[in-house]
Amino acid sequence: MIFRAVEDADLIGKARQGEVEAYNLLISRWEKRVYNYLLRIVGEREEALDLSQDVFLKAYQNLRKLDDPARFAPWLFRIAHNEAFSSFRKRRPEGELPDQAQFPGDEIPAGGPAAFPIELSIAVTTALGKLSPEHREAVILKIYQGFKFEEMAEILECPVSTVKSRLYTALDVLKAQLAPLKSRGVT
Amino acid sequence: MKRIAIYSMLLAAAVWTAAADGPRVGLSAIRAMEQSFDKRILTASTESPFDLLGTTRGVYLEGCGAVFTAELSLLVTTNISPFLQKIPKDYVAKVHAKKLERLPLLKRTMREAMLDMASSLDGVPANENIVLGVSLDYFTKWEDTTGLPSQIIMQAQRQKLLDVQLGRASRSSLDSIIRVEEL
Amino acid sequence: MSCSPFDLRDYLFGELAETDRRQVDQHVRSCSHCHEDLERLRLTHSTLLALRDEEVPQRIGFVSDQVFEPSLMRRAWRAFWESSARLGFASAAMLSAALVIFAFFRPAAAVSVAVTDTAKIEQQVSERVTAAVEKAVAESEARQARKTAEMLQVAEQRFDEQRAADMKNVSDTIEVIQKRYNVRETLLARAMEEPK
Repeated sequence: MIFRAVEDADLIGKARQGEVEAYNLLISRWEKRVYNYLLRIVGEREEALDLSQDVFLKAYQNLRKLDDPARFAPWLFRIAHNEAFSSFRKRRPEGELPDQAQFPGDEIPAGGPAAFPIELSIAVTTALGKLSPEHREAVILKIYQGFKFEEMAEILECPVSTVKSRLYTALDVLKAQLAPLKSRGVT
Repeated sequence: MKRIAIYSMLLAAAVWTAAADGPRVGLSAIRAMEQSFDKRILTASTESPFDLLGTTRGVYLEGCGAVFTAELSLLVTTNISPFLQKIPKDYVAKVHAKKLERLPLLKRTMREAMLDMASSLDGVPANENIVLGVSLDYFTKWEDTTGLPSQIIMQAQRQKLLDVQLGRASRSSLDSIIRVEEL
Repeated sequence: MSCSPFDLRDYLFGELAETDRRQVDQHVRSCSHCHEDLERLRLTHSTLLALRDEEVPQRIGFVSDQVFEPSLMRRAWRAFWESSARLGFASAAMLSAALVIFAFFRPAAAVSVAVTDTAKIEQQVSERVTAAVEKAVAESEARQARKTAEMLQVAEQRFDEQRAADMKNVSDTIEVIQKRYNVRETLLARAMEEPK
């Protein structure tokens, strides 16, 4: 991980000097994470891909504003967060964010490696879909993206206590939905 | 009399609550669909049957719908062993071609099963989904899996499947109603 | 309501100091309610992780933009400096420097000493030749032994790999047979359950 962080800093330095190939290499390292983060927030593959492209374009245009290359990850996800929630605002009237997830009824992403039970990934996606975007985002950033609470606070521009509260509330809801699956023999 | 009426109301409320908390889709209905899909798989082709390697498992997920999964191989084949150290190239090609040929049959079987499930599972709300997933096994050591998926997942809203089943929509619309994911 | 001294969710995410963690460890060992609560949290966490990342359907990349590219001179210099031509150039430069220094600071020629006793010379030469031949033979034998040992090691390794591969293939086949057997058992059990 340390080796990789050093390489990323090197690529960022080269990209800042205008080396587009260095930036493309940087993208190839981060695109899967950003794409999956956005996919789980917005729930649609095509939109997640469009947003991912916007995120990396904005990141390239603002690379000089990144003070510390070691903070690239939270900085990049800050941009991704803004793009995701801008997208939500465009879907709905100004100032009104959806209370519940808006996964279209016939668009539950069920994909995943063949090694994992289909019903399990569908159950998880459905459970996540029932959370509000803010709560779902907290789960995604902590559990799927592995950010620390301080990094999440930086991405979401809110106190650590707020981040924790959102995550823990979401976890309580998910616990109620997913834990009973065991009794049905799904896990 | 008043006391009896109150007790009756409380008892009725308790019974109603218990019924509401109980499973919306009965286990027997799920089991029936599991067995029905197994039978479809085993009888889909008399000439060379699908190799069923895992009987169908069904579960109802509230807010999502009924999810069924099964595991099979498109063909019964041999495998490398100490007595057969190398699979002949022509056999590899033959198996690959045969499996590609049988994929449409599997998908047809799955679509028919989904229509059947939509009409049988009354407990699944009309706006929830019927999901049917099949995991496909291969001997990856020697098999050519080019163009062959490891999982096929079909899902569609129960109401839309019912519309086709009841003749309110044409069968040709099944392709647009059923979303297919191949992994 | 949890009676744990600290929030079990903080415990799950490693937010507690070591002493606090140990307190929670001790508590859940004796409190079945908190133990179950923690297990449910762990189960939820591992169930969530069952949802794996998807591959990006289309690679994201940018085409070179002239506005952001460095100047032609800078690109040419960077291309040279990072290429293998630089290594060749450096090697040639060092060799030239060595030749120049050698030309200026050539050492004095060695002076040979005349020997008069021919028999003594012959004996010394014979001894040296014998020693050299013995040394060469010993070295050759040692090399041969090393080579043989290496070949044996490679053969053993290949045998082990082949055996492991054979076992894996047999295991795969047995797994399929086991699955078929399980299916038959299930179908048979169902048939027996059916009312006659």
